Amino acid sequence: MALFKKRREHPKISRDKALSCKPVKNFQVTETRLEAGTVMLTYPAGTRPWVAELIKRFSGAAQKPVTKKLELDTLGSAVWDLLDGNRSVKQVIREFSKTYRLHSTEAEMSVTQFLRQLGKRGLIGFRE
Amino acid sequence: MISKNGQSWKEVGWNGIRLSVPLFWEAGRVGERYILLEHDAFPVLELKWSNIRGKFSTEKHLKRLKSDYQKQQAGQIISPWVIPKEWHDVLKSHDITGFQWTGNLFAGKGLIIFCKDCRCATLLQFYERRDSREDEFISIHKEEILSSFQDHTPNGLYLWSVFDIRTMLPQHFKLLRHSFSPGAFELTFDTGIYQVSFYRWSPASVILFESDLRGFAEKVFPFKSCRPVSELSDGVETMELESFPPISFWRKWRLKLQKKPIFKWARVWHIPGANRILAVKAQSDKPLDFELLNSICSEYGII
Repeated sequence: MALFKKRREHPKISRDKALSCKPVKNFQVTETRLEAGTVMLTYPAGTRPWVAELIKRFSGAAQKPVTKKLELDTLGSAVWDLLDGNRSVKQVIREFSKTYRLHSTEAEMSVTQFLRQLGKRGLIGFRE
Repeated sequence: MISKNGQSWKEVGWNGIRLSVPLFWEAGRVGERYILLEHDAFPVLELKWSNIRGKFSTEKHLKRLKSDYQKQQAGQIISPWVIPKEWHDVLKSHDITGFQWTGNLFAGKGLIIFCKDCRCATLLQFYERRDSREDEFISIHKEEILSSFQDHTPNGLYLWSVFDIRTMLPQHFKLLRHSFSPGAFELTFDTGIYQVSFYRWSPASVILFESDLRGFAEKVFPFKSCRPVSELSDGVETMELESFPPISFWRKWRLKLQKKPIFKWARVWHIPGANRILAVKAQSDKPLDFELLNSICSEYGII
């Protein structure tokens, strides 16, 4: 029964392996540079299939694609600019820490937290 | 930063413990009486310590450690280990017992160090990875690290030095809380009379992009007065903030009954070269000793 189905465990990878992954931007994301030098990201927001089905049944037409916007702050924009698909997380951290003269542990914590957030929103993916 | 045998070293100090470690080792986890040092995302040295009341038994602690390891980390085996003579020589004022363990990813050598003078027991463990060059480095320098180990101080001053902050404080300053969030560090101590807090923010260039140091200081410490200080600062932009005690007798008593501090003071300064903002805050229900606060501020800095 689906209700009692064992939840699928995410594969655990070592910290070293995670840091050597390369973050890649989602090609559906469009970025706009704001006056302050920060970045505004526009990305398609996915609707749950059953919600989309309900909308389709009641309105009779397919739902229009919904987009969401996310404005990054100065530090977030700096990290976003460093994501070129070739740099690994470790290299991004190193560059970020060098630019703002941050402590390496501090830079690692902030960059990884930020990348995790971007990943959850589907704005980036990771490749080994 | 110290240079020994062509290698750069730094001092790490936390809650009574002090030792020199290679410059590229960084604190990965810090607890009230715990430090885990890492290099390149791998643990290299772990320290845990506590003050012992009554009789100290190494065997009892080793037995407890064994059962803890077996419970927490399945597959780890702890066995006794004979400590080299050189290690005994560098820690001759301490009682030391050695042990070793092997796990799935790491192996390690550990010491239980007990000082009869200050009655502090320390569990010190060197982590080893068989597949890296780091092991060679650690094995060469273990003796040097151990020779720098201190669990008490003759001058009554403790070194507090982790990440990039450093200060020397009298022994009676008890750590109340600490936090090392990205961009904002805080250490708060209780002296019995005052509460003294140390802050460090970074990157200053981003924080001070929209407001100046005064604006930032007033936002963080919403006290009554804020004035720039030029005579103390040595060219460093510095702000001092103060909250005056209420004149009204009833208001004074109300604050006392609510156990709220009557006297509040803070100094905030900007170090552009390091891209950091530092601050010291003191609060108490008794008048503050500014001479002591000045010396506290002069000791507090960036490594």
